Amino acid sequence: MTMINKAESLKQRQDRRFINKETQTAAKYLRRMKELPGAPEGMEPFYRTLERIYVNMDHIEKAPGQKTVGTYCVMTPPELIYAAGAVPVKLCSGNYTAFSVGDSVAPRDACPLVKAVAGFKQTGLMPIYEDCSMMVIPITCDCKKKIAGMLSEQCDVMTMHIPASREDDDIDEYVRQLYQLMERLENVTGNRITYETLAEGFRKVGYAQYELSEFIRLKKQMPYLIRGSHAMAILNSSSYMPADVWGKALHNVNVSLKKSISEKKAVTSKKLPRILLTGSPIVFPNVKIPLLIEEMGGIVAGDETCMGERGLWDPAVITDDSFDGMIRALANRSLRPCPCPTFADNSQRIYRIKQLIKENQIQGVIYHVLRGCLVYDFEYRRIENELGQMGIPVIRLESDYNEEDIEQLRIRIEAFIELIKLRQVPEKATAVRKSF
Amino acid sequence: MKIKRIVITSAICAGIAAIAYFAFVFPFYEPETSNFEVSIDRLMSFDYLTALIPLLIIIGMTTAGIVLVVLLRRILAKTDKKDSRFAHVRTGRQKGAAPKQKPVWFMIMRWIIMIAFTFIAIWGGLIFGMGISSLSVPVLSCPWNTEEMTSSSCYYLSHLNELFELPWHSIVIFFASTIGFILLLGRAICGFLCPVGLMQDIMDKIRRKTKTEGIKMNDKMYKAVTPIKWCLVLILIGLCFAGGNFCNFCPAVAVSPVLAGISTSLYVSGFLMVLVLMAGFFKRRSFCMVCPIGAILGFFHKISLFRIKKDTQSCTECGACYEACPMGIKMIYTEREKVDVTSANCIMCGECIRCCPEDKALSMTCAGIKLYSSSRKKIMSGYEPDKNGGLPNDNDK
Amino acid sequence: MEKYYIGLDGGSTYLKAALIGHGRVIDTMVRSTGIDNNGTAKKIASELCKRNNLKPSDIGYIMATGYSRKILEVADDDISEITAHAYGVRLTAPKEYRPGMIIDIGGQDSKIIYLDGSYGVKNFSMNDKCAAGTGKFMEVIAQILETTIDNVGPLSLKATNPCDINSTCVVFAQSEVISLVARKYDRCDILAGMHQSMAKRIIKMMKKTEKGGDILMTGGGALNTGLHHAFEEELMRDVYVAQHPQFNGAIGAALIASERG
Repeated sequence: MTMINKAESLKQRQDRRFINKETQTAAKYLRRMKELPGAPEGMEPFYRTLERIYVNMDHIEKAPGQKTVGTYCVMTPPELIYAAGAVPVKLCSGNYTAFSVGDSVAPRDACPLVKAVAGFKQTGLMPIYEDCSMMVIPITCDCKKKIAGMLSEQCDVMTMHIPASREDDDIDEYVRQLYQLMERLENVTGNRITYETLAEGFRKVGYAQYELSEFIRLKKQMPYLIRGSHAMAILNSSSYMPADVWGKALHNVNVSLKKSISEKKAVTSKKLPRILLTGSPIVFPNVKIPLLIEEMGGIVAGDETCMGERGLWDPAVITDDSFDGMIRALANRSLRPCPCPTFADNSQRIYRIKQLIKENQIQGVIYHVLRGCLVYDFEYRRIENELGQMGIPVIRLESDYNEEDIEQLRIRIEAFIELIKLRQVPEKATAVRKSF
Repeated sequence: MKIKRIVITSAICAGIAAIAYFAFVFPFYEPETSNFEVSIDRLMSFDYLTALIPLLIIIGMTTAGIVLVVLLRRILAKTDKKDSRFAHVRTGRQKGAAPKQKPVWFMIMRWIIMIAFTFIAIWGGLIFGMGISSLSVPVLSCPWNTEEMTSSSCYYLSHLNELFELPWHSIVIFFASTIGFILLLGRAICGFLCPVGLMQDIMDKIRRKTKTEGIKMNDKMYKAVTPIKWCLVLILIGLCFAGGNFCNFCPAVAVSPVLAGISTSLYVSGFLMVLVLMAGFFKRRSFCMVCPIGAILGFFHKISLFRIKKDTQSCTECGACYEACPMGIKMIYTEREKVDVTSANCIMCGECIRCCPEDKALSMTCAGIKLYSSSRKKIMSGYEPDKNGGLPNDNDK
Repeated sequence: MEKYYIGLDGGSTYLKAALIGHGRVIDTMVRSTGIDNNGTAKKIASELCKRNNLKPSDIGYIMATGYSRKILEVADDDISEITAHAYGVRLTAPKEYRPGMIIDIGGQDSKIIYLDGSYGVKNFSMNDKCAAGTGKFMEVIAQILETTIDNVGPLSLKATNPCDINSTCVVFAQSEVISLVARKYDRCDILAGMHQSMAKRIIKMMKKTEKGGDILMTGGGALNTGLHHAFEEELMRDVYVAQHPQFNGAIGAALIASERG
């Protein structure tokens, strides 16, 4: 079969290869995640979603005729999209195959996340991208700004200006932008946003956050009930599931975690070094770092990344029951608590990390930097200094969306985990040696 | 720009001072005969209804005013090109209900205490006797009502010349009780006891129930209001020496004596009460921002027993407390060093703690004892699924 | 009874073992790895014991490090080279050394480890994809120049006018050296040039931001006096050489073993 099938055009051949490679990579990482021991019961819906999106390359689960709206970053309130009767899908990508395609579209120094998005858009093969009636892109960095321009050639794109500070005027301005977003959403979906639908949107997302709060509370328990990589799979799949469906699935995980408490079950009886993962987003299938940490004998006890715990953590607090009050609550939630380095003064991130260190009894921090992700790289120095004063070791891991650096990362992560282990009280040998 | 602001502020302050000075020339309501008699029998009689007339007028005017403002805003919103799209949702009557967190005991207690104290301040003397009537509580509850169970410090604070004509032991009791209450409760008096505060809170509740859009103030507006507060403090203390009578100007006079059954003339105070209620409707506790008594209480915020404490590390700077705070205290979410975030403006209403989504990030203490702490669980309680595991639904309400 | 501890460093070509006890290095041993890593490790451990009149029960804990650490069954646990080297320095560094930086030049890789004041690993950078700047590189050049690796150092110190070797890759450097030989350059000058280029290459890996403390050389490369000299010249400061440099990893592993046992 060396002869090229004439019926298959060049484009078709390329597409077939892309799909093969993409699905293989996704399936591999999904398998590695599943193979990691100690997963709680009730993980299947999340694995199934990731499999559906990346391995089967299928559309997201939604009601027939329902529109989907693509979002990026944590600043786009999903409540509004639900209020307009559409389903939000987070399109920030971690895909290696799409990255290699996007590499030829975007400049060399662009961040891999944006390259992967560009790659998917270039091939036009990923249903979650192609289904979108509209994309909402908060301009959190230069790469996002340019990708917004590139995407707008093929899709209806709305950019959201993210201010550099979070003063009252900035919030007011963001409220105005949210009204504009609502107008665009109404035009795209053909539905009107009313008080009732908005309240319903709040309930959907609020329910997901309710279960998430419970989940994080359980996740903090000692000894550990769940591994960080599994938690990452759960949190990542929230991007591709309607909030209420995700919430219900998470509820089952919470129930099984509570059961493990009463049965005194834990992930492992060993004292694993507890590691906090922070920095650039970690999106499936680029989960090599959490997987490596846990395969090398550490545990990702907390994460401060925007596709992880941070993404859904902060609730919109309604302080005024009017329609405008709810929109204000969204604007407030989108900007003020967000520890995204896009803001000029982001000292609150350090407090957030310190709080996570305290709550999860973190012993070491791994600072993940995607190559080209300047804003996160900028903040490394400060966080290193602050944590250095606390005596918490930090390492910076720079990585790209490919598998070539896995061995390098492995050595670095292993040495880091050993560094933490050496600080612990060593496990003593007991048996007397008879021979070698 | 700065000069312009100073000129405008001084003009407003001068206007307020002038209105205060000439308060008696703007009559709001004058009964045929003044009647200062208060008794339980009178409360039961038809006369009581006639005594209530000014209050009813105030309520009527307030309602009319609010409706007028809402209608005006709707017209403006509809004609404005930018806002017209959402004019109907923002200004019309809305179906559905926003998710609400479940009631917390602290707020229930606050309401009970507020209502109870208002009751005491108006009718308490009739029921429980006048045993402690010489004690002065620094609240805005009118001492013209002679049946107040406790007296209100505002009268002698605004009539200092009369205070020093009293026998010395009365002066001592006045100062001792006033300062005692201030030290003990601080501005918790505003949040827990003050009847004018209660009325404003009721107006705010009505607004929330009707889902009417309020006025969202930002830090610039809060700053602009501050000079008016100091101007009112000057008027409160200085008016008696200039020959005026603060009581003709004070909005509280239009409520508690009237409710107690006193038929008396209302001057500009009646109009002001309408304004206070309308402002209280659109912006929660808006009068408290300029209240002179509150400002005086605020001087002692550093030593009062009630404190707002913050866990500076667990705070995410989400600003929910600032959004919720009726007094616009920004420092509560920006503060990252000090544990004690009690501000001179804080009225201890506990709203910031109720709206704080981080566990134990904010708490209220009294003499070191924790009264109320923020909790994630409480804030998310509105999203808790019902027993069937479905989403919480408010459609049946 | 006082226990003894063994550290095994399973490198690419040699298996190194160190025996420590009473807080000092008692004996070291090196064997060619061969095909059977595990068997060699067992043999070397029992030989070490025999040579020092010890019974297996006297050995409290055995720690493995190096490339083959995961497959050495004789070891109780394993540890990465980075940590092992950082630990080994505690015993092998000269007294006047203040912890700062370790340059480790091994057979197939070279690494730089940054230490804090208490010998903890702060950071590290390594070169593990390329043989330039490693012991293997020296071996290849020595072969071309018809000498042995042991003579490379002393010979290069005799140089009067070191050549420039600019290629960073082993293969290219090899041909560059061959052409220098053809042009009748002195062997000593070529070797000195080679050491300079190696030092430059490794110095490039160093982080400008990591300052403070002294520099220590470990690994087989540290035995090369010419390279040591080149480092001092290029860095323009003193560079210390560890005792038993090629056993530093094994000693470190043994030291960690002594904490466990």
